[in-house]
Amino acid sequence: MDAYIKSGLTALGDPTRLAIFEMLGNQPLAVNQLAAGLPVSRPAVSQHLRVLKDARLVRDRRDGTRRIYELNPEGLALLRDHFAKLWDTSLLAFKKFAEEKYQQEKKHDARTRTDRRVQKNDARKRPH
Amino acid sequence: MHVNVPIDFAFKVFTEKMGAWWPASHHVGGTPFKDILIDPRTGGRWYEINAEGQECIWGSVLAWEPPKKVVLSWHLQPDWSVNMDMARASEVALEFIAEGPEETRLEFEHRHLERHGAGWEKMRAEVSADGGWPMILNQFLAAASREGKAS
Repeated sequence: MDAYIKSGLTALGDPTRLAIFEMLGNQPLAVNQLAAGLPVSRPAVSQHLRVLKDARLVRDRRDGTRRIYELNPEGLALLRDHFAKLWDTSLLAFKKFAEEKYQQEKKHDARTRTDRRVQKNDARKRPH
Repeated sequence: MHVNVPIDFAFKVFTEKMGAWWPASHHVGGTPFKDILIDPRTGGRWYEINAEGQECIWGSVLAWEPPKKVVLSWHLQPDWSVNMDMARASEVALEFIAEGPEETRLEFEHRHLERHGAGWEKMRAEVSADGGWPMILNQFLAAASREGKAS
């Protein structure tokens, strides 16, 4: 799995970071605005934001003296691809399973046919 | 995708043996599935069943045209719950095309993802308050928990 996706998955494993991520999903916000809506301190919010930023889920921009945080579409696009890959994995598993099973059944059928032929020949050879 | 089996065989394995080939780590319910079943008719159900016999619905059969086509609805919602409202469901369409006596082409499309919420397909920086991000987020978390369990 892509390292960024993995870090993204880890980053959202924390309830506060998840809450921050959801808040930013609604609108871009500054640190103090985020802290006002959360039961944690401003420095704690900053720390969580750094983790989200490292995971490319969130990005920031300067707005005068404030720093505004928003969701990073690049990270989200990676996630979307990740889900597309889940289907790819499943369909590949289907292909492998179907092909193996088909070969098995073919072999089994061939063997059954041979067995039947042998039995018939045996029956014919047997003296009455 | 090409599968080196006859079309009838491909369709049968896909629809009747899903529990055998679907990756075990990708379950929808809280516990691993014992089997994944598709009722063989339009309007039928698509669901997983766990070891205790509990069922967890994945979707329903929108089109059933063996051995050529099956279209399933996908009802998983932002909170990883299931909403059977068709207006909130995307579609998983599978077409089987015979390319030879032992060769089948499988066409796959997961379409109408936008019905789960605006923004799924249009990955824009400015997403409306409703829809998009929460859906992706929760898909994401569900995948994370599954992968966590799998590893």
